[in-house]
Amino acid sequence: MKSFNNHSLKFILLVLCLLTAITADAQDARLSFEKLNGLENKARDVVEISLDGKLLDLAKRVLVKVNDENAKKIGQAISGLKGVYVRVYNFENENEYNIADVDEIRSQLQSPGWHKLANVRSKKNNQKIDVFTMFSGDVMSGVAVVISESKSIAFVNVIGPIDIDLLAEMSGKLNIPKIEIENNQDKPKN
Amino acid sequence: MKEDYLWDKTGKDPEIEKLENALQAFRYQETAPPALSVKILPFRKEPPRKVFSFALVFAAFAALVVILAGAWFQISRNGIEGATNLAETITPQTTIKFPYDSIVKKVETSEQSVGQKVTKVRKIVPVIARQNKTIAKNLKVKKPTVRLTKEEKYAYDQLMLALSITSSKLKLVKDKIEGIEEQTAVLKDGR
Repeated sequence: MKSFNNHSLKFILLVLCLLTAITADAQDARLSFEKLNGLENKARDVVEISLDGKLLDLAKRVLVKVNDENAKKIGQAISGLKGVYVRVYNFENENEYNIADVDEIRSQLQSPGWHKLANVRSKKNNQKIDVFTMFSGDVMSGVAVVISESKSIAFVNVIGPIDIDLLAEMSGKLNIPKIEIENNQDKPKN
Repeated sequence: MKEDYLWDKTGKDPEIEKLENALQAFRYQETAPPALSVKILPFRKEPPRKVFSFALVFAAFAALVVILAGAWFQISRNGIEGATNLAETITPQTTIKFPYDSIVKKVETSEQSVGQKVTKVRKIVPVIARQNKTIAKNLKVKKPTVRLTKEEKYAYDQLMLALSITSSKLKLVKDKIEGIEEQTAVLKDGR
């Protein structure tokens, strides 16, 4: 009886450890955007999306409902998605945001688990683009895109497996018109 | 006072005569009718309008010709279509697909001459084809619409916006990398 209790306790502990590991793995891919708080007041255009949990499940269900080929493709691409977090800020003038805040988010991507997929630096508009991915075994568990320019910054954090190539292909084909935020900065304010 | 004088002025009634003489000033005097200010046109009876005219006859004739020509064209066209269907059913590799297979098979399995088969198929197939056409039309018009609740619409819009931004950013990275690769290749070729 005593040995049975010991075994069951060990088993429960093992399960708990595994669950914690899985949860921690999923949480690791999540970036903290706390440093960006307050930028929405300074920026000309702001997009802040935090989509996860029940709301994401609801959106996935809608994608299944919609009888559209593109919607089906998107549905396939995001079937394992756990969360999407987007922050985009466009400013009227240069140096309206603190580059240290962006670098702090970039430093989060230096933690173990993240792998640099692409890194682009351009002197035009002081553009810096970083794309990082995180894998749990062979399965992608996160994607992070950080783009900073002289008048705009953009962060995309995707938690869960996602087909990047398909998503890049779908650009402009989604129901919502293609958003060219990076080109907006040269346009005069209405 | 005599009554007769009052009725037809026969005989004499001095009393009435006296009264008549006293009221003589108010006696009715017949004069010509007063002239009217408006000129009255005399009513002339016009002859009835001619309903029949050559222009009307010509227009009716032209309309009749157009209707007849249209009907003739339609009949001849149906005839050609029927002939085409007939040709399709006669060929060994039948172009008619799934919905008609059962009908065609029924005809083929029956122990009848080829000529009889053709007449049966000719009768059946165009009717189903027409039905199928109408079904296709209906399907085109009636697209299934998705009714979403407020929450569903909000979630869907949020997801689409997030994915739209994500995809545009990824496309930007892809284009940048491809552009750099192309530039490097051009530089290498130049050397």
